[in-house]
Formats: sequence, C-alpha cells, structure tokens
Amino acid sequence: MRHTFYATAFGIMVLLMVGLNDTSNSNREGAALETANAEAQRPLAIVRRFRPMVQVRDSENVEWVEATVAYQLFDKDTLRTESEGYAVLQLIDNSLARVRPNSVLVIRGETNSRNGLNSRIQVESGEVNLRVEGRVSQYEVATPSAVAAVKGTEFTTRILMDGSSEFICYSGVVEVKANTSGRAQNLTRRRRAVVDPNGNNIVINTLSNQEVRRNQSEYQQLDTSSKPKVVRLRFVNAEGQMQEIEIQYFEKLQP
Amino acid sequence: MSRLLSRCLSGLIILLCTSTVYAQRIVHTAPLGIQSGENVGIEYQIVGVTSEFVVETALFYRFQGDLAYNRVRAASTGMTYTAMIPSVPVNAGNLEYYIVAELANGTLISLPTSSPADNPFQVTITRPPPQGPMETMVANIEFRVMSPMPGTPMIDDDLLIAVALFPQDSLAITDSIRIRLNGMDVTDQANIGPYLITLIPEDLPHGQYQVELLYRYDGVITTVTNWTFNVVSSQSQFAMAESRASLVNGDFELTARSQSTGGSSNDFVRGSTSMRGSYGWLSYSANGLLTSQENTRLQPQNRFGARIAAGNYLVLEAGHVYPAMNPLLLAGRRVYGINTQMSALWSTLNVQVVYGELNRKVPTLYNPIAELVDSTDFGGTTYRDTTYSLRFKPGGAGTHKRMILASRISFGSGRYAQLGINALKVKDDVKSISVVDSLFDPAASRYINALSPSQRAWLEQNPLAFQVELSNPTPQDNIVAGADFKLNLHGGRIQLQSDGAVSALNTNIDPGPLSQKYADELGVEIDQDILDRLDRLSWLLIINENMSSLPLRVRNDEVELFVPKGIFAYQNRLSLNYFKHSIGFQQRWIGPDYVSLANNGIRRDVAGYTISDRFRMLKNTVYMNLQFEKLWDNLGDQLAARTYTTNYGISTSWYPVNFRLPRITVSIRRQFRDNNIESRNALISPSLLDVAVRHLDVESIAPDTVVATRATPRLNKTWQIGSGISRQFNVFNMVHNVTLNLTSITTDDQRFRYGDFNTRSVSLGVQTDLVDLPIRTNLNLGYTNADAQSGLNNLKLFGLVVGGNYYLLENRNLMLTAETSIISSKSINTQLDVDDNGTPDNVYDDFYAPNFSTRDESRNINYIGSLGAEYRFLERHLIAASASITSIQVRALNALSQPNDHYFQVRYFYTF
Repeated sequence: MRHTFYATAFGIMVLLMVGLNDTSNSNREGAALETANAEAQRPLAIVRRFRPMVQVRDSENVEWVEATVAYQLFDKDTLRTESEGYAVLQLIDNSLARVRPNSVLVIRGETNSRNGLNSRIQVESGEVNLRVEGRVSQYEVATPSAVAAVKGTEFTTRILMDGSSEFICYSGVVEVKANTSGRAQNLTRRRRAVVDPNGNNIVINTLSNQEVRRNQSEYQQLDTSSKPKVVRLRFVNAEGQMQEIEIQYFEKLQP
Repeated sequence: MSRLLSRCLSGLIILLCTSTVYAQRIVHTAPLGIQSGENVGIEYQIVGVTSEFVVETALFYRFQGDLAYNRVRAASTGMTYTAMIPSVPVNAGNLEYYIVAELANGTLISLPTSSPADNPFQVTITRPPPQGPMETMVANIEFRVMSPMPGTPMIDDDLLIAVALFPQDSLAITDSIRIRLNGMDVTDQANIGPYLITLIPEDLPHGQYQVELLYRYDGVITTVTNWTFNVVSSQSQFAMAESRASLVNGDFELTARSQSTGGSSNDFVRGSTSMRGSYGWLSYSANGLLTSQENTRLQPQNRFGARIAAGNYLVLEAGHVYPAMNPLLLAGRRVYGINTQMSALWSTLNVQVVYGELNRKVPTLYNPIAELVDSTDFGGTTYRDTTYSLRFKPGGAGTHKRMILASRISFGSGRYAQLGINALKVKDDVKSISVVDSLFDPAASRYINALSPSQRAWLEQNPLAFQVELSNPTPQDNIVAGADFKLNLHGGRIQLQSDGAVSALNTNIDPGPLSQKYADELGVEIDQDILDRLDRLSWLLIINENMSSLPLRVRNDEVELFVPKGIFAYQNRLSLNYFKHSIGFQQRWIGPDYVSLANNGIRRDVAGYTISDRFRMLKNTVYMNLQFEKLWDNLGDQLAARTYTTNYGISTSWYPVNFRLPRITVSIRRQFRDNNIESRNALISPSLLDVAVRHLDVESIAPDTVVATRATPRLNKTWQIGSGISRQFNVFNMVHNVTLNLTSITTDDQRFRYGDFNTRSVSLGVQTDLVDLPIRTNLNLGYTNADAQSGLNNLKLFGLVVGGNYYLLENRNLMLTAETSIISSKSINTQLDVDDNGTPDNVYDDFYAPNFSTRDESRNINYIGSLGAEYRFLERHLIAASASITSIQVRALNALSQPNDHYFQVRYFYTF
C-alpha cells in the first residue's frame, strides 16, 4: 500500500513536471502571435470623473474633443477645464490627478520596467492636485518657471495670477526646482513654495492646519460636485396621462 | 486564504508522541510553506483520547527573530482542532510553532514531544506569488486593477471597470480577453485594447458583483483574476462617507453553537461587536465580547475595551488592552486596565504607561478534610497511621490577583532613531485568595471546624498528621527594567534593533522580606544592615529566600550582596536590504533566571546567533531563503552539560510567470544537537551502553559510594526535506489547481538506540472551478507513515476529504457548502520499560528494553460529514449555518464504542 501510494504520488509529480515541455512549445507558438499591435500606443491615464465638461486635444490635432468617462489620455495629450469645470484623471499606476477649473495641462510619459510611470505633467495654467500611489512611478510636475519632482506623495501645483508657481505639499516630500536659477528646495508636509515667474527665487512658508484642511475640503467638494444631480419633471396632460423626464445638472461652483 | 488552509488540511504529516504517553498523540497537518500577508490555519488532531478529555489545546507560534511565542487557542470540531495564526508579516523569514494540549487527567502532551519550545516546527514563509486582483502576472500579462478597487463600494451612477494591461511579449490579446460580470459575459460591452480594458456597466442594481477576467490562449481558458465590489446608491455612499468622517461604523456578530463531543454537550452563545470612527483629529474605537462561556474559575472570557486617540499626541486605551513595549518585557499580553501613550515635541518625546490586572483572582476550592487511615501488620501487631488531608477539588487550584504597572519613555520619533527606557513591575495580591499552608493557618479553621470534636482534638495533638495541597498557588513579585534602541538608515534599508533587560523574581512573597528568624533557621548570619536594606526595598521588590536568583552569596563565611548574571537578557538584530537581498543577523543572550511575568513566552537559558538571507532571482520568479543558526544553553553553568544546536536551512520557491508552468517549492533543513557527553557506564555490558538508563564516571560502586551520574548523552542529526509542486490545468472547460506535497523527516540518534524518528508523508489536493457554473470543488488525499522510538511505535494515517461550494441566487448571495471526509489511522505501540539487569537493588546498571508483551495494535476510522450555508442580504447582513457529524469507529482489544460527535452552529453578521 505504502509503495503503491508513493509510486502514484511520484507519477503525478512527473506528470505535473511534464508540462514544462508542453509549455515551451506553447511559448514558441505564442511568440508567433505577435502582431503589429505590439507597437500600439499605450494610454497613460483615463478620465475618471468630470463636471460638466472636459476637453482633450491630442498632439497631432488642433481640435478639442469632449472627453467622456474612461476617455484615454496618451503621451503629449492636452486637457483643459472651463471655469465651472473639474476633472479627475486616474493614471495607470492608480495615482490621481485632480484638475481644478480654468486649468490646462499636458500629460507626458511612458511606462517603466516596474509597470509604473515616468511621467511629466506640464501645468500651463490653473491648478492640479496630484496624489501619487506606491513607489513604482516617477513624477514631475512642471510649470513655466519651476519643476517639482515627487515620489509617493500628495501635493498641489498652481499657476498664480502673476505667473508665479505655487507648490503645496500635503504628505511626503516634493523637490521644487526653479528653472532659471536652478535653486532647489525640499517641501515637506504643510510647506508651501512659490517660485517667481522668472524662475529665479523660491519662497518657502508654512501653512496652518486650518489652511491645509480648507484646501483639501475644496477638492472634496469638487469631487462631490462632479456627480450630477437629478431633477425629475412630471408632466400631466389634460387627459391625465403622465410623463416624467429626468434632467441631470451640476451645481454651480462656489467661489 | 482558503487555498492555504486547504493545503494545510491536505498535507498529513505526522509525528508521534513518545515517552510516557503512548496512547494519546497529537496528529499534525503541517504546511510545507506559507505566504506572507495571509492568515494561516494550522490544523491537527488529537487521537487516542476523546475530545471531552481535552481540557484545552493551543498553538504557540513566533516568527523568525521574535523572542517570545504567541499563544493562540485552537477551536475544535470533534477530534480536529484549528488554530488561526493572524497576519503573517511580509518580512518574516520562518514561522516557528509547537502544539500543546492539556488533558482532563492533568497530562500535558505536546508536539514536538521533547522540549517543544526548543524544537518547534519551522515553516518557510514566502512572499505571495505575483497574483491577486490588484497586481499580477498571468500568461505573460501583467496587469493592474484600476477600478473598482476590490471590496470597495461604487456609486451606481459612477460605475467603471478598468484594468491596465502590461503584456510583456506584446501578444495579440485583444481577441483573447473575456470579461464576465457575475458570470455573465459582458465582453461585447467592454472596450478592450492591448493595454487597457474599460467597461461602463449600465443600470446595475445595488448589491455585490464579481468581475472575472479570462484569457484564452492556445485553446485554454485561464482565469486571469477575479474580484468583487459593491454597488451602492449615491445616498448610501454619501452616508458611508459621512459615517467614516464623523460617526461610527463597525460590525456585530452573534454566534450560537450546540456541540456534543465524546458524549458531553458544550453549548454556547457568543456576541461580539467592534466599532470605530473619527471626528476631526479625534479617532475612537470600542469592542466587546460577551459569551455564555464566561466562568469565574477562568480568566475573563467576556472582554471589552475602548480606545481614543487625539492626533499623534495622545492615545488612551481602557478595558482589556494588549500593550506592547520592549519585547523582553511586554509584548501584547492582555491587561485589564489602561494603556496610555503621549507624544510631544513632534513625536520625539513619548511616554507610555500601562496599569491594570494581568490575572483576576480565582478563589481556591478545597474538598473537606479527608481522614486517611493506613494499617500495617508487623510482628502480629497492627499499626495504624492516620493522616488528615486537605486537597483541591478538581480545577480548584486558585489564582492570585496579579497587577502590573509598566512604563516606557522614548526619545526620537523612530523614523531614524529611537531610544527607549522601560520599567515594569508585576506583583500578586497576597490576600486576594485564601490558601491553606498549615494546620495553624487561619484559612484552615473553616475546614477543621467541620471535623468531629474527637478528630480536632487528635489533630491538635498531632499537627504533623495534617497534610495540605502541595500545589498551592504562591504569590509572586517581579520587576524588570530594560532599554531598547532602534536605528533606520538609508531609507530603512539598514535597520538595527537592540533590546536589553534585567529582571528579578520572587516566587513566593507570602513570608515577606527575608528576616533574621529565617536566616537563623538556615544557619547563616546576615548583617542587620542588609536586612534593613531589604526591608526598605520591599516596596519595589520583596526579597527573601524564594528569589529565583538570590542576590546573596557566601564568601569567607559571610553573606554579601551581588548581581547574578543569569538575570540579564539582550538581543541585537541587524537587517540589510540591498540588491534584492534581505540579510539578517541576530544575536541573543537570555539568562536562565531572566523572567518577565508579563511575557512568559520567552525562551530562557539560550544564547546564539542566526544569519539569514532572503533574495529573489530571475525577474522575481525564484525566491531563496538561506539560514544558519547556532544556539546553546546552560549559560549559568547550572546544568551538567551544554547542548549546542546547529541548524542549516535552504528553501527555494519558483513562481513562474507562465501559468502553464508548475510552481515548485523545495526546502531542506539539517539540524545537529550535541552536548559533547560520551556514553559511559562500566556497570553494564558495552553492547547495552546505548540503552543505559544512567551514565557514570566511576568504574565500580562500593556499598557506601555516593554516585554522581553524568548528564544524559545527546547527539542526534535530523534531515527535514520537503517539496511541493502545483499546477493549473484546464480540462473539460474546468480550471483545476493540483498540488502535491512530499515530506520526509528523519532523526538519527547516535547516543540512544531507541531515539530515531522517521516520518514520510505525501498529500495531493485538487481544487476545481467550473467555468460555466459557480461551483468549486475540493479533493484532498493524504498518507503518512511515521515511526518513533526506532520503530517501536508506528502510526499510519490515511485521509480523504471531498467537498465543494455552490453559489446561488442573483449576485451569488447564497453559498452552499458540503464536505465529507474519512480519516483512517492504524497504530502499533510497544512500551519501552526499564530492565533492572537482574540487580533490583542497584539502579545504576538499569537499561531500557522494549516490552513486546505490551505491543498493541489499534485501528481508528473517522467518518466526518458537514454541511453549511451562507446567505447575504440587504448589503450588510449575513447569516450562516453549519453542521457536522463525526462517526468514530475504534477497532482494538477492549476498545469501547465511542459516541458520535456533532455540532450545529448559526452565525449572524452585521456591518454598520
């Protein structure tokens, strides 16, 4: 009985191992299945949520296209929001970029060997909040006057009215570098850096907890407001027939 | 998790209990390897005894590098016990554990049988292979779930399913991917590209959903991943967000169970809840457990606790708390009291205080005084010897109330460095329970008054005839002081942790501080100044003759104070993480007299070092573990010999990317134990030297010679080899996962003829998922053949388990389970007796010899059937019922028929 059992077990193990040959053949067949799709462009992000409209333009066109949920963003695509607009982008490493009203940004990048992103987000105007997930990606957020290098953190980048760039760190560490002077400063939680429009100086100060909470709650409100509200209107004609229509609308953003 | 538990169930590795307990054994199911980040179920059976005689059984476990074992009580279903080890750390190297069971007759059996804490099972921990819903690689496709995240709620008007793909070979996968939602093929609705899959489902009713991503390659369909999520309304999502932000959420569980084991019933009802919430910078939580198993004769079974935290500045816990400090002092032991932690100066100054009750009092219960008369006839005269005995009732040994006060102050946030200073005091309340030590003890009067007047009168004249319980509980006093230091460098790639402590323990403080009267009884003269100092120290520690290590020694006929080195303990750990290698160095020295009553899982009297390396190769598909360890004991030269234990271990696991390749694990471990003592006994034949009961230095013994025996020689070598292979097949439109494990453990004892052990086991498990139906089946088959005491004891065990799950109703809210198993065991035991070598008056020439007349053979077959159902409703409610029946058939001489075991359990679960 014992020998029979062990012999059976050994036989099963051999059968399991035999799969090696079978698989090597399959791999060769699989290699033959490679197609032209291998060079297809890889999306870097999708539009996860927006209000009421967000527009995207790819690098080869001048036409703006209205994006929808799950709209794919590729290297060099430009995205813009209107005065009442707001968009949440989910990058393929599950990092989130939240784009506030009146913003324009260009997304650039490529996947790296760890299936993360080596990405640069160029903020042309407005404000974007970036929450980086994990440590497989490398992000840079650039403005006309500065570049912020980040890794596993949450921070906001904003172009101010005078053209200077503001960076606020909510967690982790952000390295802010002024373009012209090359000066660099590390930002930690609650630290704020402003780089002048010429990219020479960096001014650092600290936000109060109240200011941090206020900034973050604004994004929460934007998130909430990106879900349309619904009004149902009922119409009854003279014969008593009733019809209901549904209207989705976005509430106006509070200044 | 279920797969892992299934693997544990399927492998049947048996080690025999030996020595004095022959009939009662722990039969263990040992996993070949476990994965980090999961809960692990360790299952075992206790055979040779019905479950009603098992008072309690527990598993003690620790992870590589830990000093102390953690205890986890095992839950029983008939003869089978399962202990759950929670959350295996990701960076742990090995799991070490042993099993202990207490029987109704007071016997303790363990596995391994000999010094289980020193010879625990060692199981390699591997990092989980790259699979799972979040991020994985199957069939040369790596992928990442983007939305919805597994187990999370999604708002009905915000639905999106998205998966990012990273095909390594740029395969044309677009036409090969299928996506199913709750079993429905929705591929046509999805947007499937070579790098991204997106799907926006329309009009999904609220409830739970399962997404399955399938990949067809070479005619074979493989489940790439599957995960579940909940669809909720925006209102409920908003409510949940609100509750997370400001209110309370949690869960409630109610369990009722009726169980009959070995003919005795054990029914209970248990309710538990836990809740948590936050408001601004305040966070709070509470938990409670009420059970009908609460018993004043035991430590608390009903438990409750609350916690409130104010940012990073203050944490207050009250109720049943589980504080941790320096691991040499306190490491998660239950305390009924408070645990506070305060931080200041950006967490660089931290203070922790713990105060409460470690043990609650359990009063002693004595039987009435029994009169025992022993009559002896000698020379025609009858002599009567009368004694009066006061003994405990069964389970009547009490426990003193034990209080703890501990504190720790640390400097540094711990991000880079932290230095901690710890102190702990544990003391029993002497007056918390009544203990009778003598006839004149006031607590004895109530029992003496129950005697007749004549008996009392006789006893007053013969006080020495009064016998009290020898196992009376004694109040203890313990202080421990320690320091710990940790350092993190280079982003945590270099970590250093050092812990040190010194302890003092008094095993009986009932007499109070050492007095001149007792010193006189001992015949030593102690300077009054020393006694005064001891008396002044009594607030901190009562020092008397019952110290586990007396700080007194006699030098030149004078007693002086000194510091014994056996009361110290320290350990240092260094880990380096570079180039995919995780290299660890550990050095420890735990003195034989080091004791912390708040952490009694620490192995004492051990020193040594461990070197380990874990690394990955071949694109993270091969995981290697290397380990070398050398330990020794007898640090205070208190033993007759020092035993060295040397371990070498190597294990490797291969998790290939391609699902068609088998996954393979192989581990080899070699252990040497040697105390450098040779066998020697001139009084017996050289051929019997390896079975001698005692070993002597002398060549002969004169009648008045006082003989000192040598330490028992020890030299044994153990090989432990394990291998496992698993592979996925697709046959008849079903996905099969087949796992085969082979294990061999061989111990060669070169000093004792009957010290060899040999275990061989094989197990096979097949898990099948039907593609077209929501059915999963399991088949597990195992066979073990184990020899102990060089073949005098043998156990063969065969097990077959067949079961399955079936999901019904919309959203798979109803799950039915069924399982049946057969476990057959056959054991042959021959007792090992002591032969007096024809000289009954001389114990020094005795030797061990098998007594073949005691050879017995028994066969035991268990048939176990179980059914269960689980129903989820209204999103947050779950009700589950399960029942099992076990039929036990014993075929042996004089074997008694045993009643069937059965249980029925209903469980309700609610999350809010």
